Amino acid sequence: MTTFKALFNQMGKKKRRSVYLLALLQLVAGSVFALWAFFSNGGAFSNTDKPVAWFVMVATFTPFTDIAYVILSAWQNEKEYSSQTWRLVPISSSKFYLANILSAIVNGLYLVLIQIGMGIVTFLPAFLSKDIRTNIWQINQAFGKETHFWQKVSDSFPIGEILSAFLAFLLFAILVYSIITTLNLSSRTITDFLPDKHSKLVHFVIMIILIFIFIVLTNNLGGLLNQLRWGDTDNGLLAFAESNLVMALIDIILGSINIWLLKDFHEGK
Amino acid sequence: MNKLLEVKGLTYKKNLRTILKDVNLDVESGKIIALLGENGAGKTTLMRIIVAIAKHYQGKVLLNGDGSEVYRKANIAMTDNLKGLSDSTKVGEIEEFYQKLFVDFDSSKFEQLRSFMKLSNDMKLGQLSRGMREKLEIALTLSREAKLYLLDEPFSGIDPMSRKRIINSILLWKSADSTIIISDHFVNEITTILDEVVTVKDKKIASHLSADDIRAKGHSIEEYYESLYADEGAE
Amino acid sequence: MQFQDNIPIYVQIEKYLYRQIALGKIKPGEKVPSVRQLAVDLTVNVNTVQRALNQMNTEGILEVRRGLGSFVTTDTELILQKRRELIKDTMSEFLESTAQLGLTPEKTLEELKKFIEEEKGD
Repeated sequence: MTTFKALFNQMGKKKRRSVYLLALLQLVAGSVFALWAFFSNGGAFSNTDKPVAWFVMVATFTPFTDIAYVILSAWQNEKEYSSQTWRLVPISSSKFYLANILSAIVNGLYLVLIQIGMGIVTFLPAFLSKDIRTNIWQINQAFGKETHFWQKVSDSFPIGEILSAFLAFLLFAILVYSIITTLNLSSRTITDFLPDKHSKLVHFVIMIILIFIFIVLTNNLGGLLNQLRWGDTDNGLLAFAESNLVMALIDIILGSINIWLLKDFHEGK
Repeated sequence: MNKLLEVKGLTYKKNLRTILKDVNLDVESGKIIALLGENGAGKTTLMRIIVAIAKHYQGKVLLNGDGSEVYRKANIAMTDNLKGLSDSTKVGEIEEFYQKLFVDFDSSKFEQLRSFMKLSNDMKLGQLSRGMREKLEIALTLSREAKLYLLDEPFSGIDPMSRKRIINSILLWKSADSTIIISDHFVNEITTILDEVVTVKDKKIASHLSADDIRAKGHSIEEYYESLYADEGAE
Repeated sequence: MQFQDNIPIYVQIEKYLYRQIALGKIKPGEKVPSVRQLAVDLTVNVNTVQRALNQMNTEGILEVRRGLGSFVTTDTELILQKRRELIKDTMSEFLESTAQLGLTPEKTLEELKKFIEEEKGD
């Protein structure tokens, strides 16, 4: 029997490729734009801002890269569910499902880490500018005078809320991957029970219908949840806990549906 | 010889079509068996059900009395078309993939098979010819220490010389209690190594005989197989 | 070796080994190649080789010693007898095929003599 760890690593390996590729693309694209901005007169950056051009340009591409990663990793996930090569691995459907989603998320976080690293590196040229050095020094001085520095930091970024926000982000990521998988697996399962004439078209139509049902369902559910709101919604932590709980619940429901479809219906080709 | 695989009352439908109907099959350990039938007769489907890739069937599939999917996947090695891996994947990476995901994978065995099949580790999947790809699929499958091997039309694109060497390596390496099922739509040079012949026709197992019993009646395996379709005229 | 596909393989393996023994290629008391070796050499299934060896063991031509392998009997009389049987078999097969060409056994003998003379002359 194959261990969860072994499968997780192999699935992660495929996704790590997209991570490196996308990070490289982001760096190259950001750099090209920065060079262009740097050498164009009266362009996007004034002379004083030019030292940060590299950082700004690379950072600008971050959301596009992250969205591209979600699309690529979700596509990779679905490919593995439908592939005999992967499905032959002796492991339970639930572990297979979890390994796939978790490897997508862990590598997504890895991409974010790389992006932070790129942010630091691309910011280095800024230290060449005297103005910026002075600015940083001044900020540093200001912090130095502040006796309750860490108190201030934890006031403006409360640790409880940061953790809740991180949890919310994770649950949301799981939700995105789960929804895509539910749509894919259920539409394919339904297609298998229909005649195989024009199966591609049939699959497409079923997909549209499912998406429609899904949107209607989310709307109604959202309205229902709004009515059911309990406690003090002004309290940030409680509101977070509430929405996280709802999201976790939906993750579990969709996850169970997906595992059931994988176990009893969906075949690898 | 004890019972290794048991298929009981198996019926499988897909896209509203019946592909297998009330199939029953008992296989003992330590055998080499041919699974013969026309293209589309359901041989591949039967293998996919046995290894628990095809789902939602009626009936039972038991390996050593155990019907669980994970147990079946862990102990059955089936040739795979490797479509789940991208064309840029190298042979060496595929070996690692198998070695990491199948605990019964024997790398030294794979190295030997790989070298006589003239596959090198840095060849990419997308560059392989059909025959080379089939060789890789067979090498990966045979490198596992499984109880049951399912080879789905393994030799169609492979030249006769290599076929003979693959057959020899099967004879050399097959453990005494493992069973190999080889599917094909015609009978070729594998006939001499067969213990048993199973034929699939009209969604069912048409016959299951010992190879030497067929010969004892004065028929060659080929003649016997062709006679099954004789009443339908020319193909 | 080439097998005929309409005769059980184990029967053909037996015949092959009898011939090896009768021709003295494997001598009395000598060890027969291992089951797996024979299987690979002849490109046949291990079970089929085993069946042939078991059959020969029952007939007394081979002696299977557990864990050591199979040995040819030292009973030379038995080997000679087997050799005579082989010759007989070959003869009857030959006569069968000439009979299909419409030759009586006597006529066959005549033709055979003629044939041998001609071959000598060449």
